[in-house]
Amino acid sequence: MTLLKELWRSLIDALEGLGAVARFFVELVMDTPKALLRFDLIARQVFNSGALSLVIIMLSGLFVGMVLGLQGYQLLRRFGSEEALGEAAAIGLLRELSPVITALLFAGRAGTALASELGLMRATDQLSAMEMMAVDPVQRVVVPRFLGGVIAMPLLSAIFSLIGLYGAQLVGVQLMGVDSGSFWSQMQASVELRDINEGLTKASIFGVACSLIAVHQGYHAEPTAEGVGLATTRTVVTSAVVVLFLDYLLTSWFL
Amino acid sequence: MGKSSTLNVGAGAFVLLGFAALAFLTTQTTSHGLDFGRRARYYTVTAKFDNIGDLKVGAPVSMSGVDVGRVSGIDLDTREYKAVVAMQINSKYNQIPTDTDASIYTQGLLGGKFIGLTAGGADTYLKDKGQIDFTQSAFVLENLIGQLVANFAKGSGSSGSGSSDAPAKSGTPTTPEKTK
Amino acid sequence: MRSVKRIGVVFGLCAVLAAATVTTFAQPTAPADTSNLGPQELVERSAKRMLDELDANRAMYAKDPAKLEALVANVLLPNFDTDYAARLVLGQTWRTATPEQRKRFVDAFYHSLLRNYGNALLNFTAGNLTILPFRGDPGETQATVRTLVKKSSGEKVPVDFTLHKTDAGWKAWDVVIEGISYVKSFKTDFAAEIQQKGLDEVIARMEREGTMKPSSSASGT
Repeated sequence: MTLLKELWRSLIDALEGLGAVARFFVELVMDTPKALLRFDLIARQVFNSGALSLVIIMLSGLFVGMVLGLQGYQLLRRFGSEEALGEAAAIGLLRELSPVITALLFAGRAGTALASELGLMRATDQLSAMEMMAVDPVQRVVVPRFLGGVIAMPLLSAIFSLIGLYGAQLVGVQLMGVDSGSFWSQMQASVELRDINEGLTKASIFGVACSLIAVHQGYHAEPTAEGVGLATTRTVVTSAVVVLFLDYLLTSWFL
Repeated sequence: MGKSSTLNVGAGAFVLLGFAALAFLTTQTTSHGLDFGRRARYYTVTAKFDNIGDLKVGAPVSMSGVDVGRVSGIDLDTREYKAVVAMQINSKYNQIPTDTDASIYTQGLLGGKFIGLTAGGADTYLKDKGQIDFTQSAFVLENLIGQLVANFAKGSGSSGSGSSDAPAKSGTPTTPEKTK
Repeated sequence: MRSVKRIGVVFGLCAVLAAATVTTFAQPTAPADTSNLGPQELVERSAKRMLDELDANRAMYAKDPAKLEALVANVLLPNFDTDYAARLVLGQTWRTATPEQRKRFVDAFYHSLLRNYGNALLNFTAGNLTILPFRGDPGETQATVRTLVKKSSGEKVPVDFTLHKTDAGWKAWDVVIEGISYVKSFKTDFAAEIQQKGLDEVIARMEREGTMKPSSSASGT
């Protein structure tokens, strides 16, 4: 009987959590127009979330691309279709790997930064201080961070794809000897704008999800050192699960 | 406000980089990007076939292996029960003789169908809303297999007769380079 | 399969060639005026005249191939647009050929056809041929007349005639047997051979050997 009660309890808790996030999201959206007036705040957050994540995104992109080139080449060689490596790498990156891996890395680097920043503000009462000064903390602090993440994600994903393709080309053409002309021409013949759109849409939606989870966790963190730590870990875990779940939904929707 | 302007510059550079990456991806990985601003013009030509097999809208139309257009529409003529295929030909290929034949071939052995044009000897050329009268329908694999089986069943060495009276039934060597 | 293909080719294409082949032998019947007939009636009448004549004098034609040739030239040939079909078969080569080459090609082609497939006609009777109802639009300039030819095995093979309207009435220019356009088939075959050997050599070979394909090729005649 208590097991059932516990299950029920967790269900209610989960629903409550979901509801809280949803309400928070609506609040963010509604505050966006006013926040846009302080564009410099948003620009700063774009820098923090995007530009500062560049190093890890580019490094990861390069290595993922290289592995893709390597594995792809080995597999295609069995069917004698090494020339299709460009096509395989491009489609794999553009549609799946870029948005997902970028989102996971984003959650790990920028997401945790956002969550800990906001959590720290909460813990040091900065947010309550703002409220007392009749400054809406959500509008001033949270929304720019949220928008910064949303803007940065698709761009990071595009950069990931770019570097990834370079990595695949590095391994395939330079190292393995695939013909450069075939590499690019087969890619061009089969990749369509639709694929790029798909990747971008996914990246944008993942951006919204990860940013939302990060700022929500940070803003509503327990105002203790422990609470902040918990917020950051929860950000990464929740972001990862949500991204992968959304990825499945979006992929099946696109197909 | 030195620090914030640096940040702004940094953010701006990042956004620029992102868009540059996007631009590169759309132009270099797809085949459309390079055509931005140079929209090709087309004229439409129709042809009637008894059987189009699984020819699809969007299938290529090629001449001597070069893509000259796409299948833009497939309809059924309910009087004659023939398939009416509309093709969009790139306007720069405007010297296709009116007695050119349009035949349906298969890419590779089991690939998709496409239309191959082989030039005729007429002095007049196809224009918009023109019609190609000289057509060859698709070879349907199941029918060919059925014929082959029937020939073997008769067993009088007549499996060679199919080739003596009618030449190569499958796609001829003039298939375009697409190998999807 | 062989005999049906032969019949179809002869019935359709044997007259797809120049009038120069009309011989001077006594004509069994005078050519009818067909300039006003629609495509369906044209095929039906030509078939009937051919079959009636064959039925009446089959033995004579079996013994004398020249008479058969004359019959074909008389009954079937006028209903075929020989120039158009030959031009389709040669394709681009027609353009660059001299009038003399064109004429020689047409003659050699016709004779090769007759030689290869002429005998099959002798076995043809009215029971073999079923002409199907016409489905086209009589106002159009292109038409297809569909028939079914019964083989000795009892199997029925679809044989379609493609006709177009000229100033001198409807004329046929292609035969499609089991989905294969014979003009297209010959076009492909000859294109390869002409590219290899040149038009003159191909014409000379046909005049010499009287066969559609070079005798050194894998498939028989």
